[in-house]
Amino acid sequence: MTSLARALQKLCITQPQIAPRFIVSVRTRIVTPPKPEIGRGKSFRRIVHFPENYTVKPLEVTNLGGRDPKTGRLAVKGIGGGIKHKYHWIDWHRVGPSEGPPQEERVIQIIKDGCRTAHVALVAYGDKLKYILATENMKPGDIIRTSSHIPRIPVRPNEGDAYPLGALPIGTQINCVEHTPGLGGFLVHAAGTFATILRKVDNRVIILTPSKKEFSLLENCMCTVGRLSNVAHGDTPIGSAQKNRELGNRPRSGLWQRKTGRFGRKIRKPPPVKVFGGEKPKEREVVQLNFSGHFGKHLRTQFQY
Amino acid sequence: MRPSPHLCKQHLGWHFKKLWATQSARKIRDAGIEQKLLEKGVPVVKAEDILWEKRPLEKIEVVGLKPKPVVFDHTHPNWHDKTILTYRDNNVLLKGLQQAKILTNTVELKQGLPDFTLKSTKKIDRRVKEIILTSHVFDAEQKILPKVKDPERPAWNFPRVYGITQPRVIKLLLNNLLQLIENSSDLEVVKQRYVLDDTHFSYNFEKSSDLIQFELTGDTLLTSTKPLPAVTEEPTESFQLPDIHPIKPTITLNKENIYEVRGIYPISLKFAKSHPHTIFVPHVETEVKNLYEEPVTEAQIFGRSLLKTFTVAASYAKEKYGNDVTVLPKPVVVQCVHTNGRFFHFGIFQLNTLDLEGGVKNVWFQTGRLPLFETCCYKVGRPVLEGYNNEVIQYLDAFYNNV
Repeated sequence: MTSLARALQKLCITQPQIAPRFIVSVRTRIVTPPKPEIGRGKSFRRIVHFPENYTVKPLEVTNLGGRDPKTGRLAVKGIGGGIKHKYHWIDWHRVGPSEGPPQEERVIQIIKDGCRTAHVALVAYGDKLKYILATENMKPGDIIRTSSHIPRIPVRPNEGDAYPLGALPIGTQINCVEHTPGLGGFLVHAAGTFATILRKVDNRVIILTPSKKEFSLLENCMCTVGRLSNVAHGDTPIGSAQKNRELGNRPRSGLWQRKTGRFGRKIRKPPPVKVFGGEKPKEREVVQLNFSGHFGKHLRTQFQY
Repeated sequence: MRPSPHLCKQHLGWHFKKLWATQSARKIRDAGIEQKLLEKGVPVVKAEDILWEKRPLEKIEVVGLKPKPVVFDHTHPNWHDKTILTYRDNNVLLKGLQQAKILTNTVELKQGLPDFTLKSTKKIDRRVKEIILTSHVFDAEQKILPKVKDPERPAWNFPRVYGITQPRVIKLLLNNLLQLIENSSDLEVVKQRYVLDDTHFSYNFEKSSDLIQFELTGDTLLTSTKPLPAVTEEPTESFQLPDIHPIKPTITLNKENIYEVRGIYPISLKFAKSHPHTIFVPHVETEVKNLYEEPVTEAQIFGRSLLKTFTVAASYAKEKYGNDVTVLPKPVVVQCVHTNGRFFHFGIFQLNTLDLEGGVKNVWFQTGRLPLFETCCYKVGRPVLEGYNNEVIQYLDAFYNNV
């Protein structure tokens, strides 16, 4: 015990001795080639240079050509070139008063946006300007209303207004739906698309998205009423190979192989209703460990016995 | 077949290397210990904070390096906490003329200019056509002009055009037309007039607790020995200002924290020809733009000319009658000619009051946008001027001779 105590007394906290580094051959060093993160809703078409504060000025864009911006490697084939369009920064949050009359905003202009299929509406209220996704019959001079109050009797909404899901009657066509309250319009952005409110259960509302999937969302998630603009987009063919190149799509080959069994109509039972929780799961901390040595051919060389 | 020892050989090191590539990134599961300890009041500190001593970075002032660039934040000498809303040369208001009227407390009593007698200008029409051709086609400047884009063929790059830049076109046109009018006008009238270039105006005021400043730089001003008489004596209290609810009239004015509040009228009133007569506002399409980069509308152009004329009239009135005047003893009248080289827009502004929230209102008269000509360019190698409109020179002449 005393010897242990004496031994511990001799201990002191010092800076660890950093081993002197020699120039070693890189052939056996661990160099993990980074891989691009594909999937997870990330697109490799362009990077938008967002400034600190929200602005209505069209933003500069760098085209990626299918490359991952972190690793520089090709992540997706078939993307590249095309006309460069400036990005209109859409304000996805439709914030309205939770009591009293709804907030009124005026539509100034409908703008065709090169970065998306739907049209964009320039909207003004007070001394602020912002962009939102334009709905089907929106025109300059319209007044659109936003409210986050959920009344007992559902509201009879006009196109372009934004209300929480719980305030709208069943069967309403909606777009730019939040899946978590406060997130901003997340679901349904493409031209001519809309989600439908199917039924209400407790404090949740079940909607049918354009992909025929059913989502169960909290009733205080905001959404915009109506169908998105540019409805004819889905029916217009691209027209020519040159037009496809102007859209930023490179020539594609070998995409559709008849005999592999992967293509063709699928007949599946519909998936169950996806329930979106109120809270996002916390991201786990990732610690990157390092090994500066080299891995030997077999255990004998590794542990030198 | 008996597998030889060599076939079974595997390089373990390469297997471990591949595995290490993914396994080296360890995801740490949060057991909630830290939260539980913090709830009980036990302080939780990172090991690195105790073990490694933190050395603060010593700042070394090196003499002789180049000076630091000016940072535009709260350390700037002109920083003020209160935001100012400014309107400069190349801004346009979102709602154009309607918004400008609310800001400057102005009403339009009738469409078009007040009763104006337009003289026939047959004698000088030929000379005007020559001037148009000189300023648009014959001048020697060859600078690269903005790209031509066809919205229907977005991928097509047109060959670049070289020619006279728009600021120069407007400058040449206005200078030559003014000179022509001076030559063809009565000597007594010409003796009263004086032309100034690159004049700066600045007028600031408070409206509903917002500090607003209008600034004009580099415009042509025509001054006179006598101020223009009031155009109309009609009482303006009963007229209503336009309503742009839910938009505030201060939208699209620049918000700035680094500013200098100035009231500038460029000419000293001791000078005989210091009374403002007409202002010539150039509209250079590459510089006058919306923040959201959509084309400038006609209403926005009208609003711009109203605000510019107001700035001239208001800065003159402030200089003449002092800072605290509200309703002016004698209304100040300023004329305005707004051009982009082809389209002309004429306006007359009567400043009745500097109190922009009161009942007495200021008055604005304007024409629409009149084209001076349809096309003026080289066609099949020959300089051609088509669709000449003599209304514009008649108005210009009438404006110059207005006493």
